Amino acid sequence: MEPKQFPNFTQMDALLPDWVWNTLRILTLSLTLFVIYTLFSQPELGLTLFWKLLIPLLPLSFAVIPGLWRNVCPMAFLNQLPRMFGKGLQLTLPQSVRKAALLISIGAFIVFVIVRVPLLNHSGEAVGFMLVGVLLLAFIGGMIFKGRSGWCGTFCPLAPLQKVYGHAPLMMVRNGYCETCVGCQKNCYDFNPRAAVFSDLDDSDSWWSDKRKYFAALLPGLIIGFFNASSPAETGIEHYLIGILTPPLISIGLYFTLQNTLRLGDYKQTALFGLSALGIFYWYGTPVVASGVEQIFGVELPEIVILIVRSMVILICLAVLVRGLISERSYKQADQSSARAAVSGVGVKAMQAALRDNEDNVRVRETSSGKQFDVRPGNSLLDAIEAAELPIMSGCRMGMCGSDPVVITDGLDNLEPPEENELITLRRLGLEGKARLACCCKPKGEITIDLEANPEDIQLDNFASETQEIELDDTERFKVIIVGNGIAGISTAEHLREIDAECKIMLVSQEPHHFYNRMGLEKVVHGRAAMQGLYLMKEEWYQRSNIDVWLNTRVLSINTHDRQVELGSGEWLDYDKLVLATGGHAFVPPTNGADLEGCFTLRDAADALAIRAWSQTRHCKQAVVLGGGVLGVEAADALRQLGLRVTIVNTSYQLMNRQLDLHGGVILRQYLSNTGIEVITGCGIERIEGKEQLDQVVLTNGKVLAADLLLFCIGVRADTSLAKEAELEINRGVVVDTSMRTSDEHIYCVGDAAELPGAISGLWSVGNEQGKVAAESLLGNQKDYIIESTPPVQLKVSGIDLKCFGNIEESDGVVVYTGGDVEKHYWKHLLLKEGRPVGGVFVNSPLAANAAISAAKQPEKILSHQDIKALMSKDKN
Amino acid sequence: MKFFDYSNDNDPDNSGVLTVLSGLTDDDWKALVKYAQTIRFKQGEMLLHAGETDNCVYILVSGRVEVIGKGRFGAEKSIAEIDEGSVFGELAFFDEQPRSAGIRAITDGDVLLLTHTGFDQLAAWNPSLARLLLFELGRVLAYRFRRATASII
Repeated sequence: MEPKQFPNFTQMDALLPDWVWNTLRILTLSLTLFVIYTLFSQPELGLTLFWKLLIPLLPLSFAVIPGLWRNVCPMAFLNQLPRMFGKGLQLTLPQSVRKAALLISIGAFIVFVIVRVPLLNHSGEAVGFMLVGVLLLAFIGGMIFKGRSGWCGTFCPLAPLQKVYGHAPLMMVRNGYCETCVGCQKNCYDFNPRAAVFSDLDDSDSWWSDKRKYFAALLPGLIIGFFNASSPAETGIEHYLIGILTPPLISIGLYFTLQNTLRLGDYKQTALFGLSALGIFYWYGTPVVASGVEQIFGVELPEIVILIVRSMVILICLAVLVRGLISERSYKQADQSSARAAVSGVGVKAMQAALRDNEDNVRVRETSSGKQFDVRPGNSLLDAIEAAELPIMSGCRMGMCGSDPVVITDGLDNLEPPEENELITLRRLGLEGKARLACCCKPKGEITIDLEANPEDIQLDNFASETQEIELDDTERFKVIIVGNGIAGISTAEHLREIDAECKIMLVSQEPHHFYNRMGLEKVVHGRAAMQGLYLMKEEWYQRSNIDVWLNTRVLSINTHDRQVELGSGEWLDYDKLVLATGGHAFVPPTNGADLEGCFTLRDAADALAIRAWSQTRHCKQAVVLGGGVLGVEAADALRQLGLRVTIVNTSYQLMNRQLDLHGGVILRQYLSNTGIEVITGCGIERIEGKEQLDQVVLTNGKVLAADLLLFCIGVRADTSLAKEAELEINRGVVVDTSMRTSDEHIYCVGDAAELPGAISGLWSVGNEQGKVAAESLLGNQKDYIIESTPPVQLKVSGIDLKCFGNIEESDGVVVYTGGDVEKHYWKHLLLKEGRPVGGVFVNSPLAANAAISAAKQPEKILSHQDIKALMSKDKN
Repeated sequence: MKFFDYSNDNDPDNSGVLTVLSGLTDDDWKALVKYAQTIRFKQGEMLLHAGETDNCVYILVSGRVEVIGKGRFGAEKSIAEIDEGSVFGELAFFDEQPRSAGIRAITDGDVLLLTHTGFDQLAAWNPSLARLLLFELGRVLAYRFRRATASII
């Protein structure tokens, strides 16, 4: 935008100092009062002075330098007096009146023109009262309304004339009244004199722009009518009215005829009509003015003067026209270059359209907070609750851990009944029929939930209380000791109790916590709830299930001969069967400096609490995570959310290289980078430097990273110390057979501590299943653990939906399908063998992921070509 | 319109200044909507209460709301009105302080709610759009600050 073309008044220099303006204002007001006095005392002279000398000066001044009159006009002066003295009500003119104001002033102007010949031309009193009247109205307008909205910009009958004649000011004068703009009116003529006409004509409200066009259209006709209508005194008022009003109607007709034929555009057409009106006025008016001058000054003017004046006016009209065309061109350029101003209405429309596209979403109401939010297609209720930033815990996101039970208070019909995983977990939690797991809920229609309701308080008629106190003689009972309180240990205990209500179950855990959600540890790192909400089994569960628990207690040794275990407290416990569910510990590579303060692993609750404490007490800024597997990525995201700058160092060139294909890895890496997590691949850690505490990490590629927290996430090693000491067969883990039995027939081992060729460790579902098998086998029931292909893994990093399952290595007979767009951040990679999904990677493609995973769970399911096509075409972003 | 950008405007006609993201394409809007929650509200409903500690920012898609503050004697008082296309809640979105005023719906309408988490995700997947949004929010904030300053002087 060229500022010089359309300066607003604040960008203009004052033509004259304020005191000069004020003097001029007082002079014009005095002159007006003098004219009024003369109109009453010497009507003849007053009328000549007013109509033939003063009034004819105005139109020309409006065209050449409209700001002059707007600054010195006596009506404006009186109107602005209250404001200059800080008085007046300063009210805002109502919207409806503001819109109608131009119509009112046009009406008033036409009435004045019509009554001029019959009344005003020869009655000094009438003109005198008219002048007093408008001065008073202008003053009252100024007393009531703020800015110049009480008269000058709105009701003044001269305003439409000024806008039509002065649409392209040859000279501009700074608005001298508005010290600060109060934004009292739309497209203010005093604010930006040159732009006002374009903004008016371009206004999206056609009622607003049409009034302006309408006045320009009728004005030439009105002037012709005024000068040519027969005298009402001679031919009667009817003839006079017909004579004065017919030409404007013809003029309006002509305007709209030309508009539809010449198609000059609104601006050129209004300019043409306005300037024609001005020319016509002086064509007819000049002789009248000349006669007035002759009358007052008693001189005789030669004919040539009239010719000169008429020619001058025509030249001025042409000058205004040229000025206007220049302005129009600049305005169009400025308008295009600033799309923002022009499309603001479009912006809102686009936003509303985007919202309408969103109608596949399903609405959820949450009663405790009163909030409502949407579940997007393919997303779970858990995703939506998290996106709405409402309090909920999450774990496996697959219905196995049970960290996210939610009470559905309404709309249960809009949910599919729970599938196997969810049902088993709900039963374990004692919540069957009372709650649903948010990660498993994909509502089809509106539901209402209550996050504060405790599902355990819900009474169900058809469920009998499970609590049964069994009083038995301890010496008679079959005794099982389980070492370890993780999922494998708990699953063993749970299934044991389910099969055998009478055996004595003793659970020893070195951790001070009841069974908790190990997958929620990231939340302990970055969240403020510590362990709250992380417990999956409350104390009541142990009581109800009749399980004796030793927390914060170590098992020191096993006497396999007498079948006893020694506790750290000095007690000896007898067992008939022993289950080792000791899990594993995070692997720390033998690196120089790995024992410095500030080096952590993230395996259990104590680690998570310690990391948070360390980060806060040492005001940590930078963290390095070694390892770009699932745990490493999730931990890095947790540290980022804690407020640290995080760098992931990964030896492989790809993140999560065991689960992801190349494209998936690229999208993940890009996402992490964009959230502020730096990823360095293809190198490891050479050494760790620092005095007592960690200072910096030196990478194998020579790069040095400053760090005050280092997290090892490069894998888990089975915890075999007890087994080793008991001389059980050990390889990487405790070697077991498919019934989960170790080399000692009375000792079983489950979960991460166990080693079964081909079985995957480190997964919740594996521990759960192995516990179940061990419980059956140790009670003498034949059961084998069936090694399944890698169960689904979902990356628990908010903002990216990444699901993988199975094996993504291509082998004989495996057909690979890929789809998506890395640029658009979604990707699908599906491996099929004989029509069955055997592996897959799905990034931001939840619908396809759900379909593939559910097909993989059904052993009989063979996907047809159509099925695959349908699956791969889901989630078109 | 920019030619009538009254610097200390309080004219509802001029709310174009407060319209955010008017240059976005349809695809941009679709992307933005993905990271936001949509809420349909009814006339008279309180969308925000003073003192609340969430720090979402709201984009008014349709309808009209008013800002509710406390008057001299603790009575509720309408301080300003906000038109469709504009935003509210941007103060707490930036400074994470409790809400300074309440918001009540004058008409029925729709609002887009963007949480910090949502914004982070938007920024991660679509940094240029997030940058634009930040500038737009900053522009509205600056505009309102200027207006507040003008009303004090």
